[in-house]
Amino acid sequence: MILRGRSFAVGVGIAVGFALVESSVGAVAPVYPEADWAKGDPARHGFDPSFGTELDAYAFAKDAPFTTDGLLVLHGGEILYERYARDYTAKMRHYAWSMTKSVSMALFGIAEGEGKIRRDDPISKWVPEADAKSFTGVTIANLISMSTGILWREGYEASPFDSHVVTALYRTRASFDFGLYRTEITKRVAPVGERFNYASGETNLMMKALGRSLGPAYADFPWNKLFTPIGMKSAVFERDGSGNFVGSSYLEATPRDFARFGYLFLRDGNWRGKQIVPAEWVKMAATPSPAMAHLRLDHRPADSPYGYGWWLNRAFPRAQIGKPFPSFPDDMYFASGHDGQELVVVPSWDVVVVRVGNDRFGKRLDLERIGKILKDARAKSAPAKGSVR
Amino acid sequence: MKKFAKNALKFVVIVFCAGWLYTKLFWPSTFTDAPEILANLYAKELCTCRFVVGQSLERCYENHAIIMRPTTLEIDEAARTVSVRVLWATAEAKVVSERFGCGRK
Repeated sequence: MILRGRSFAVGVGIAVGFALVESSVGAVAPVYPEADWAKGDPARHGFDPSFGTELDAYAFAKDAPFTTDGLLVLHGGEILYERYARDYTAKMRHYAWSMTKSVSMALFGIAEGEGKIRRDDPISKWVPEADAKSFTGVTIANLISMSTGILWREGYEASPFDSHVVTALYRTRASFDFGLYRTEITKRVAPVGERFNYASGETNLMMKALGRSLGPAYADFPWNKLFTPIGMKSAVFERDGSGNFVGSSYLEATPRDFARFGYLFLRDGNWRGKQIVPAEWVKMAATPSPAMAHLRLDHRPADSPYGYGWWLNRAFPRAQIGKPFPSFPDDMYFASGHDGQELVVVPSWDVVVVRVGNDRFGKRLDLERIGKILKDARAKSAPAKGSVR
Repeated sequence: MKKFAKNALKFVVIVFCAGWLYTKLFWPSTFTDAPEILANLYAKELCTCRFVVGQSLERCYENHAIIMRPTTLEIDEAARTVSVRVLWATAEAKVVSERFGCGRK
C-alpha cells in the first residue's frame, strides 16, 4: 500500500514534470520591449533576409507617387525592418491622423472595463446637447462603428469647402468644441446602425462622452491607463478648445511607439501579464460591426470594411467588396490615417507593421504590396533552427 | 488707353463683387471663410509640425501646403508659438504642454 502510494506520487511527479517541460516548450512567453525594441535577425524569425531590400525598393522608391517617412516591421516582439526618410528618425514623432481613432476606441474600452461608461449607453445620457430627435437610439457603439445614420461629410484637401471635418478642425468657433459641433449636424440619412459612414465627428462625440464620464481624471487618462503602462513615452495627444482630446486625429508619437500600441492589440490587450485593454475590446476591433451586414452597392464604404475603430481585411460579396489585401490573411486588421499612416496587426503571422508618410492627394502606398513582400519572405524562408516563427 | 484701364478696373471690380455675392449666397459658408480656415490650419499644423514633430519649417510647408501660403508667418522658437495671417484672417497657435502639444489661442 505504501509502495503503491509512493509509485503514485512518483508517477504524478513525472507527469507534472513532463507537463511543465511541454508547456515551456509549446507556449513561448511573449517578448515585450524593454526601454526600446530589440532588433531581430529575419532568418531566425523565418523571413527571407532579402525582404528588406524589397521593402526598400517599393516603399522608398524615388519615383514613387507616394512619400514614405518611416516603415517598421515587427515579428515576435522584435524589429526585423526599420527605415526612415525625409529627415525623419526613429526618435521623431509622426502624425497618426486617423490612426488616432483606434487609440480612442481602446481608451473607451479601458473605461468601460472599469465600469465608468458603457458602449450601449445612449449618447444623450452623457451629451444631452445632442438633439433628442436625431440622436434618439444612437448609442456609443454606433459612434465607434460609424453607423449613426446622421449626415457627416468627411473630406480633406480634395473638398475642403464642403467638409464637416475641415470645419470642425479649423473654423474658429467650431474647433473650440469638436464633440458638440457634431451634435449640430442633425440630418438623418439612414436608420441607426444600418449605414456605415466614416465620420471623425462620431469619434469626437464619443470622446466628449468619455470625458464627461471620467470627470477630472480624463486629462491624464490616456497616459495613466494606456501610454505609460505600455511605454509610449513619446505620445502627444492634442485637445480642442474645450479640453476634449481630438480623438479622431490629433495623436503624435514615434513609429516605435505606434508599434507598441499595435503590439498591445497583437497580444490581446495584455502587456507583461497585465490586461490593459479588455480582451473583449481587442476581439471587437477585428469583428465586422453590425452595420457591415447592411452593406449594399449603393452605400458601400470607400475603402475597407470596418469593425470598431479599426479597418478589416474582409470580403463582403453581397456588396461586391473583395478582400482589400489578398496577400494578408483574413485576420489582419489595421488603423489608417490621412496621408498614408498605417498600423497593421496580423495575429496569425505575429506581425505588426507601422508605416508613416505624407501621401498627399490620394496617391497612397499600397498595403497589398507590403503584404505580398512579407508573405513571399515567409514562404521563401524555411524555419531555421531556433526559429521564433 | 486711360479709358481702357478704367473700364478694365470696373470689370475686375464687378466680377469680384459678383463672385463674392455668388459664393456668399450659393456656396457652403466654409468657402467664404477660407482665409479663416487656412489661417487656423497653418497656425495649428505648423505649430505641431515644428514643435511636436520637430521638422524643419520647409518640411512642414511641404507637409501642409494647401491652396495658398500664409500672407505672413511668424514663428517664435523660444516661446513656441506660430502666428499666421491669410489675407484678412489671423490665427495663433502655441505649445500648450508636453503632453497636449499645440492648441490655438
